[in-house]
Parts: sequence; C-alpha cells; structure tokens
Amino acid sequence: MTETEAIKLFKCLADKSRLQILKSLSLEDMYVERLAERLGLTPATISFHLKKLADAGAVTSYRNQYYVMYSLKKEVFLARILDIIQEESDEAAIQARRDEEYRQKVIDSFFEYGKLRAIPAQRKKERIILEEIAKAFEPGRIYTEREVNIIIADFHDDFCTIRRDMIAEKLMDRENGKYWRT
Amino acid sequence: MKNQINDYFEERIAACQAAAAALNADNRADEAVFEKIRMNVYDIFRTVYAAGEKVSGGDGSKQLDFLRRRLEEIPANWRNALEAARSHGNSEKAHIEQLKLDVVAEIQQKIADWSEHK
Repeated sequence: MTETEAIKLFKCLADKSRLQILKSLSLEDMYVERLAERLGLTPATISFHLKKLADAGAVTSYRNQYYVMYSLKKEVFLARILDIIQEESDEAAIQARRDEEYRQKVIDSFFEYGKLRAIPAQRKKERIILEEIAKAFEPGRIYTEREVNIIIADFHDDFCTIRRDMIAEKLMDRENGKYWRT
Repeated sequence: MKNQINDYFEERIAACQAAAAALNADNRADEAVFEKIRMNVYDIFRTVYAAGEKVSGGDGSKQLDFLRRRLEEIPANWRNALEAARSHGNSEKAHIEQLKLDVVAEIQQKIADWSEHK
C-alpha cells in the first residue's frame, strides 16, 4: 500500500457511517438497499459512502442476479498498520533533496575558502560540518594523532575539539593512538 | 401565508443546522456537509423570497410568483451540473447536485400544498 493509498483509506475510515457499513459487510455481502435499511440511511447516502470505500480499496462489488453486491476487501484490513507506516514515503525523494539543500546551506555558511569559520553550537549543524571534514580522511587508512591534528588544523585551529567530537559522533574511531575513518 | 413561508424556511434551516451539528458530533462529517448544503439551498430561497417583497410591492401573490419563477430558474444550472457529473461518472458531485434539487422539489411541493389549501 503506497502512502497516498494509506492516507485515502484512513481518511475514508474516519467516518461512523462508513465504519458501520464495513461492520455490516464483515458479516456478509450486502446490496445498497439492504445496507440502507439496516443502517437507517437513504440508499443515495449508502451509495455515496460505498463509492468512497471502493475508491479507497476497502470494498469491492459484483453483480448477483438483479443486485450489485458489495463485499469487504479483507486483505486490505489484514495489513498491519506498522507495515503501512514503514512503507517508503512517496515524499522520500523530496525530503532527501530538502535535506541536501539544508546541508549545503550549513556548509556554505560555516566554511569560507575551505576554512571553518566557527564550530557550530547546534549539534545537528556540527554533525554536518564534521561529516564534511571527515571527507579529508581516506577510508581504510590508519592515521597517527599528529596526522589527524594536521589535517583538521587545515580547517580550524581548535583541532582537539574537532578530533574529540569526530570520535564522539562515531565519524572516526581510535585505538592505541591510531585513528581511522569509520 | 407570508408568515407561513418565512416560518417554514426558518424551521428547515434550523433543522438542518441541528442535524449537521449532531452528525458532526457523531463523526459523520460527510453527512453533516450534506445537511449544510441543504441548509444553504433553503437559505438561498428564503433570501429570494425576502427580495421578492420589494419587487412585488407588498402583493403576497406576486411575491410568491417571484419565488416560484426563481425555483425554476436557479436550479437550471444544478440540473446541468447533475447531468454533467453523471456523464463523467462523478457520483460524489452528482449526489450533491441531487440533494440540492431534492430540496427545491420539496419547497415547490410545499408551496403547491399551501396554495391548494389556501
């Protein structure tokens, strides 16, 4: 179920009359007039709700002699809400683009000619800055602390803080005075 | 009869308002919207009837004729919209247009009943 389909279904279910229709259809397949009589609504109102339910994929219809019978699409209701939530968002690409734009904005405002103007106070912004500095380290290569300090010093004088924060943010790891990019 | 007509519109509008509030409270938002649509139609013709007073110069039967004519003219667009919605398979829009026309038919029937029993 896509995000758009899920929204349509949830919106459709947020109505007492439609829930009552679904409850009736969970007992047995029914036609419009039968549902109208059962729920005390006009056939026109029942048809209106059934159309919405059909559009949301909650019910289906079939012809039986003179009647159009409606039935519950049980497979839709067997889906777990957690599975629906965990579906990849239709908005994922847009969100990724927004994230990238934000990231670039932070980099542009904190770096000037390749030098870090200040260490951001906000953790989210600092993380972006540290990720940018981490690119100066080759993956898989082992560095001494002195090498690490020299590389970071190219960006900012306070290489001690940045080095420690890179370890804390798990962008680099260290053991016995040796450092490497994670 | 003037008072009877005004009272009828007032009563129908109040009933629709109460029904819409009750339906909303009962989590039946779409049906509450239907009641508001019905209420708007009553309100349109209440206004038309009031406007007819000026046009008719206080003559009750002319005022009623004015309302009768508007009850034919105004819903013409709604009938067209209903046909268009049906031909395009837009059942939601068709349902709404039908609701409005049903209210018009009810008002026309009410006027016919009053005229008959006058």
